Amino acid sequence: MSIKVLVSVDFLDNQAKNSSLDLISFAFKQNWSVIALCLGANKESLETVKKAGAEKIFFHTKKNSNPQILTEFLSSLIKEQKPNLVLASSLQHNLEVFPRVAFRLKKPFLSDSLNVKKTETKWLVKKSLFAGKCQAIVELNLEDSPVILMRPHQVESYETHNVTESAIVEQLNWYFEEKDNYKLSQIKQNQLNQRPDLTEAQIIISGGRGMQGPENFKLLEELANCLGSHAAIGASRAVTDAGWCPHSMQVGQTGKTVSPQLYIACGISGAIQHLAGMSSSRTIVSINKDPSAPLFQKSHYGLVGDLFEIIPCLIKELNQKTAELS
Amino acid sequence: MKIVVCIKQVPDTGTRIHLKGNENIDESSIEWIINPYDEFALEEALRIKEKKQNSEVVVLSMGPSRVEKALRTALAMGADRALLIETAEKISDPLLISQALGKVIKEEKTSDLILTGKAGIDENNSAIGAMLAEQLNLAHVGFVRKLTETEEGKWLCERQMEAGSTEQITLSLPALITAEKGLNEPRYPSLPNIMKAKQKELKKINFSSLNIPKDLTSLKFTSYQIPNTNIEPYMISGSPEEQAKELIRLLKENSCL
Repeated sequence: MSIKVLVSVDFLDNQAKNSSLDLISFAFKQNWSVIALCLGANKESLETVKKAGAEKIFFHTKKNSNPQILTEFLSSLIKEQKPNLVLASSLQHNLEVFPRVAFRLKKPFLSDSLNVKKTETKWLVKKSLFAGKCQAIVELNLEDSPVILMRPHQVESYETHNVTESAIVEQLNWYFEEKDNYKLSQIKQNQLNQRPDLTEAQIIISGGRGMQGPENFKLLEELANCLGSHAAIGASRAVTDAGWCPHSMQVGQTGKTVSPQLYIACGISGAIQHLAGMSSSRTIVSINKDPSAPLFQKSHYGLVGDLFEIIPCLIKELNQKTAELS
Repeated sequence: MKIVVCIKQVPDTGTRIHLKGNENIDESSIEWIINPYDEFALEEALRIKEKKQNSEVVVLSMGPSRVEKALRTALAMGADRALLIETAEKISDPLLISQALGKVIKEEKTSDLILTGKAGIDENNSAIGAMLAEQLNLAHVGFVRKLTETEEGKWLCERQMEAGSTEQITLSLPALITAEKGLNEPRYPSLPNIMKAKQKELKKINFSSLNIPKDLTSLKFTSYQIPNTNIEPYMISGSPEEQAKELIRLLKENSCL
């Protein structure tokens, strides 16, 4: 049985997001045929989608932000294409639209999934529960054609496949008619924070109570700057609850669940709800003056000492390395 | 104004999860709380009620009989009455849950606003709000951090997106909104209110009486597992300079940088 997967691709500044390309490439490598849905894309931006392994591409230059309107169009496309699986990234806009689509089509829905596998008769979806304290496999019959949203960075990074010739591109002629009861009035770009979102960052530097005050977070900013544009700043719940940092920076069970390549915890003791949100990080470094901090038991590298001494040394060391290279 | 708040009972964030074999979670040592995001939704409803005369806040939940405790807490916080869709066991399929909740909401007389949390901290599916909105044919906005009524009687929802941008959406009621952390600081129920809550109406509805086809999907949780995240840490000692040098060297060696 040949498997058809519809992958909904997210675009930012006319570029397909890596997390979406990862999903296409992942599906391609399973020998599933990939239909890519690209909303808010221009024709040039579809090249990366093709190379990631899409066989067929539906695209539209616009994307409507009203989930109610998008549901209408997405549902009819899925009904028409009859994919065996719908995949998208577990990101806010998708989390508003795809549960609606699944409900309308009466298809099972799961988000924040870590992996999808196919057996002869079933889909096996790996889910992290309680922010990673526990995992489970969700079984679904193959013919259920579920809608699954995947947590970014869980499948392998995409590769370029040699499929460019065969991809069929079709422009959708959807006309989004605005509704009176929903009006997107303003989008403010955050000028201060040009860093990637925590859930998508490759490197995260997090601060806890050991930072001693909000003013000291600039030290973490400085360290992040040395690590390049893919480093983000996070914080523990103690720190966001105290108002040192906005809630959007909180890592943990009531904040964001993250899995970067590198997580550097500075002055975080490691409450269970924080551990839940970050323990799936590839490499964990902990800097704390208290050698009995529980986070050390979850860290690959531990540095016992004063973070106000160690971090400036790290910054100096990184700057030196950059200077040597240039 | 009539507001329905959907809440879920979940294990407290400090709970360690234990398993019964690999097919079930051991619930015996779990301390249950109202899902924190649902608590923000409830608090927001109560604040609206305090500002608007003749408002009613109805809390709705679903699950086994233990969920009654969460509803009593919600009543103690200030909700007017509660509805519990009682199930024999825990149901985890969002499609089934939202159908049951939606059916009960429809049976209630017209509701102006449906509020719930952006996600449950247990399964983190973020599904119920959006699915309910679809079922009730309502506009909805998720992940709301700030909610204000405009002079024209519309509702301004503010939220932050992943890329750090802020979105403002104006909604006309009826509508559904899901709450994100930061929306408010939920109140603690006072002792007199805890006493009063015992007298408030808590209606139980049997899940099977709703006639929702249980075989709608085959979704089934299996093979539970507690990932072993304990690591033997490699401790880097020395002066701060030496520690920093060695860490950077190790991170480069293991291509983390």
